[in-house]
Amino acid sequence: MSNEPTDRELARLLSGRDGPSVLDREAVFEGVMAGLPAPPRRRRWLALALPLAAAVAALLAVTVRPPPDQAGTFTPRGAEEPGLGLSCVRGTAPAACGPGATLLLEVTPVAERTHFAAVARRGDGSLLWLLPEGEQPSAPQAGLLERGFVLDASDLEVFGLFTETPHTRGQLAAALEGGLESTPRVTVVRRQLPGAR
Amino acid sequence: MDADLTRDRALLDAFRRGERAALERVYRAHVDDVVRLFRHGFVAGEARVAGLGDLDRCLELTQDVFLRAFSPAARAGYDGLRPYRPYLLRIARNLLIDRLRAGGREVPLAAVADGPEAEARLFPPEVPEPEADLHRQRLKEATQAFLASQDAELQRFVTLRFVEDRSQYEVLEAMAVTRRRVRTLERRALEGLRAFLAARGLP
Repeated sequence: MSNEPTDRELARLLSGRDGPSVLDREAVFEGVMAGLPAPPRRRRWLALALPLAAAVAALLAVTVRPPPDQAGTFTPRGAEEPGLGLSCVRGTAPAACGPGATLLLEVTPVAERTHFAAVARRGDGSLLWLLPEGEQPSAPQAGLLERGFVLDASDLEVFGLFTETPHTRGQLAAALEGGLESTPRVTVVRRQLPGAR
Repeated sequence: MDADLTRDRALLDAFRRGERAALERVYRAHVDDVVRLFRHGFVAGEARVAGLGDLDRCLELTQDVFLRAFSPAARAGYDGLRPYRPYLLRIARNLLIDRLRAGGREVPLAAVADGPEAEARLFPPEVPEPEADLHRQRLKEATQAFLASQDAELQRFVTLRFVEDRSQYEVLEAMAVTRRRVRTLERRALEGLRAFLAARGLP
């Protein structure tokens, strides 16, 4: 062991065994996922999105519009703005966001808007659902989400969608009223991928 | 973790599609066997092939094995009829042989031959490692002392997360705490142990 033990070395000691620790296993798995030639998530998102075409159509419509002006977005009266932080890792190490890196989301809800969903918009205007999964409704989220998203592009914007109650993708699309700006039912927080133009 | 691709059709379909959750289940079911093969070697017929020993090198090779096995072509080519473990270990075995040869070590021909016998006797008998490494023994004792000095919550967290190898999500469910709390406990455990060892001149 070197002078400053790494987390993985410490985890091996804490395991009490002479073998790989849970952090070793997780790091190797993340390395495998990052190294696979075609991140499967994109195709999966698209496959899940197809049955919801009608509902998603409202969201897709905004892709031909200019980016929304945040100064004009709706914020519920008297409410704080929820937060959304973006960062990337490769394995367990912080990394620049780009193809192959894993995007992590850190969510800071406010009291009225605890349920979280997220959509990513590519440079070509296409939209990809990050959360919720499939036809599941959105769930309360706070802090750094355990789930990461393997990137296949660096020109992404991420939109955090905060609501008071659980919403499916279709319900979110309806509540957004055809745009990606805050509405009375959805608070939208827009973030550029760190390092993106 | 149960991840039998020959019996679980839904898992097999998700695995072929490359869904992360399915890949992770298969990975968790087999990763220890792969690491063990690289560390301790294997037996094929009368030939024994030594392992590499060093854990970090073994983990690098383990990543290579799963990268190959989880590639889109390999996933599509797996028929779901043959057990997955021998297939995975065959990749590992060949990678180990390549690595040994590249390092100038001779590998018995019997070890290279493919066949049911080679698969059946993949691992040599476990031999407990002698505690000759005094430094490692001191680290273990210090770790035990560190854990004994911690509160019950942190001790339970360490058991679930590091001894039982559960994911952060599994730990938060078992302890009925938030994700943020789990992350805090993990930092406390790792940074606390680091400081504890440093204060004792270890390592």
